[in-house]
Amino acid sequence: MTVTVKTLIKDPIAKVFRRASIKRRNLVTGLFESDWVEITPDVKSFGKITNQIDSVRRNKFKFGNAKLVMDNKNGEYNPHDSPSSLWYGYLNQQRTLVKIEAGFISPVKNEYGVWVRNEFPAESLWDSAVWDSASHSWDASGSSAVFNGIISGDLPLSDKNDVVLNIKPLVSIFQDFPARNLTGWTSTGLTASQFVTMLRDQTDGAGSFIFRPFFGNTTSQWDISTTSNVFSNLNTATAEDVIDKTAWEVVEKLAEAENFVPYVSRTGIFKFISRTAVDTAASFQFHGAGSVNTEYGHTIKSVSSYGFKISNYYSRVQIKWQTPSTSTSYVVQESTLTVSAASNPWVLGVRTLAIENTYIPTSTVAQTLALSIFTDVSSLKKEIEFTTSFVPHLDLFDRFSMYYDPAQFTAANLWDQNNWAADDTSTASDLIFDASKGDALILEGEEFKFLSFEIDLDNFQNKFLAREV
Amino acid sequence: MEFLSANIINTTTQISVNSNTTVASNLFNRDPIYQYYTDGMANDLTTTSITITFDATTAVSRIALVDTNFKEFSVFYNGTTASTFALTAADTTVSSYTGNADENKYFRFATTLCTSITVNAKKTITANQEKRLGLFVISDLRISLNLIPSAQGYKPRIVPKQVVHRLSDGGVRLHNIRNKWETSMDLDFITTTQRDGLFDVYDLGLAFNFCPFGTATGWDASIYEAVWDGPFTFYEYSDNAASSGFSGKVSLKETPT
Repeated sequence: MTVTVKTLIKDPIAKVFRRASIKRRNLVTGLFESDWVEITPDVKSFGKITNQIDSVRRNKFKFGNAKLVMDNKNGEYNPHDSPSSLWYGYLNQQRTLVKIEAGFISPVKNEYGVWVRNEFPAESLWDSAVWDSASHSWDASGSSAVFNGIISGDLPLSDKNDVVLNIKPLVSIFQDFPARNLTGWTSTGLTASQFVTMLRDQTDGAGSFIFRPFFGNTTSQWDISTTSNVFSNLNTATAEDVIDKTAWEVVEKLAEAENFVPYVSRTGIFKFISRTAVDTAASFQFHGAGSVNTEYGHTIKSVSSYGFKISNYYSRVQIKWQTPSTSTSYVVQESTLTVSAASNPWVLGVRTLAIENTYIPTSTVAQTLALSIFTDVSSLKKEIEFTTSFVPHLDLFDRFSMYYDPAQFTAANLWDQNNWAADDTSTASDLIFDASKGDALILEGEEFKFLSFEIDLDNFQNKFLAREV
Repeated sequence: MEFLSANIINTTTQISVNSNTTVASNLFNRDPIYQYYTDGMANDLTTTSITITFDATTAVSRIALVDTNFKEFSVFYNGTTASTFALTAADTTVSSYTGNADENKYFRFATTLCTSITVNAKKTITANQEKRLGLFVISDLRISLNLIPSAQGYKPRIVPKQVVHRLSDGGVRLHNIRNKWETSMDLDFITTTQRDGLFDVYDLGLAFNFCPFGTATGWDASIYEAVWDGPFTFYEYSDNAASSGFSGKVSLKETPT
């Protein structure tokens, strides 16, 4: 059988790994070293890694920190001026790149008795039929990276010989950078994608990129969907919409104006993509009690929350796109309230999502945005929060389906249908034997997309929050 | 049962190989799935050479080759092929083989001062394979127990670092990270000399290797780097007469890789 990340996820016993690596900066050039330096043997605790969107409110993006507790008995994690420090001869520990990887190992012995380690998810994608044996890792695509970040904050030593490395996500390099210090503005303004591209290509004035080195020093680590709305206010470093903002605040405002999301994927790719972009088909299935599936196996440990999310439902989207409080500064997209069973404002109440974003250039753009957001939020959707055994390869916005206790009513279980109910239909008045396992929770392939995930690397466990597609 | 110094091989700068340098560090990686192996030497007419050079002249009296397929090979020191080790309690007199069939070898010999140690391997147990060596331990004896513990008092175990997932239907899935050795031994009637030798190991402040039953043939490859946790209890007398010796407990736990 070909071993893949999917087969290892469902295996009753699997071998797992975690790996932490750093890239320091050269004392003379200031540039990152080319190879990762592994520090895994010194890690006492890997902790949890979190990535989420809209957790606080819509269009607020929160990216969790990672925290590695390191054994410092030999002083490797002392400050860079200590001879025992891993940073001795390099620049300060701050802004050191950190990569955390986790996944499965499926070692197999080759014909010489040499173990081939085979990590999953694997980095490369080769054609197994042509190039290698079916058990080699080259057949699986993906990356075992689960977090990319930079060391940031205080690194105090203590008599416990521990050092806690606080690792901020890569977006923090934008959160600290004043937008007015950026160069590359044009007098007619910029589109959102042009602004993000400007960030990507930002240099120190001497040709050295200042953001790109944190993303593999390549443009291929930037996934920027093209946008067309021109934001005329983004025309100089001293523009009103720029002067007191950080680069990240501008990105967030632009994302809101375009109904986009900016985030860094677990593999370290900066993404600026449409919020409504969603895979056309589910890329994974989760199965829990009462569901038997030999392809994906049983991975659900518990479902802590499931149901309609009324707090994320809005019957009315109001966008204020100009500063003056006049009627022309607002556009509204709303459901008409009628006293009827089909009217959501009547059934669920009137709920307004108010957005103020003066980046929006025209009323037409504001109206388009309002409609786009309205489409997303005006129907009552379900959200689910659940915990699984280790699933390393999924990311924000991935689409998946859920199966939990799906063996509910089946025709075969209708009792004495001839006498008690119409024989061609099943209605609520029928007497039915329920083949389900007794839970109130029933999921039969409902599809969701991830809004947040947490990987507990000390316990190899995932916690997901997802919204109905 | 032998307590040895930690593996003298602990950095790639000590190692010189004539094939596949990128995996040379696996020679001192105790994770079994990391092995040193040659690349392009799957031929019994080619000789693979592994040389460990020390910073200074170093005392050596034990060598372990774990997970190897060498059939015809020799181990010598100071760069002279004739300077093989005179083995004690072994299947041959010197550390040179033409027809080895064991995948694990444990060599004991009198303490020898070396500046380098070389393994030259030519043939493999299954003919014409890439040469491989999973773990190469060069060490020096600290203490060998005169009396081994009773079976009842000897508790070696492999302890997994694992996560147990209880899934929603009550089933269990295991995720294993690594296995580590742990051994506890109850020793009785230990002489004062042996007690002091054990205390030196306990009080060393360094990790050491423990090899319970090292033999040149049919060895079970049981050797691991360990620390001794808990108290040192060998000041208790084994019986009412002081001359009966001392009793105590040794608790060993394998170190991280």
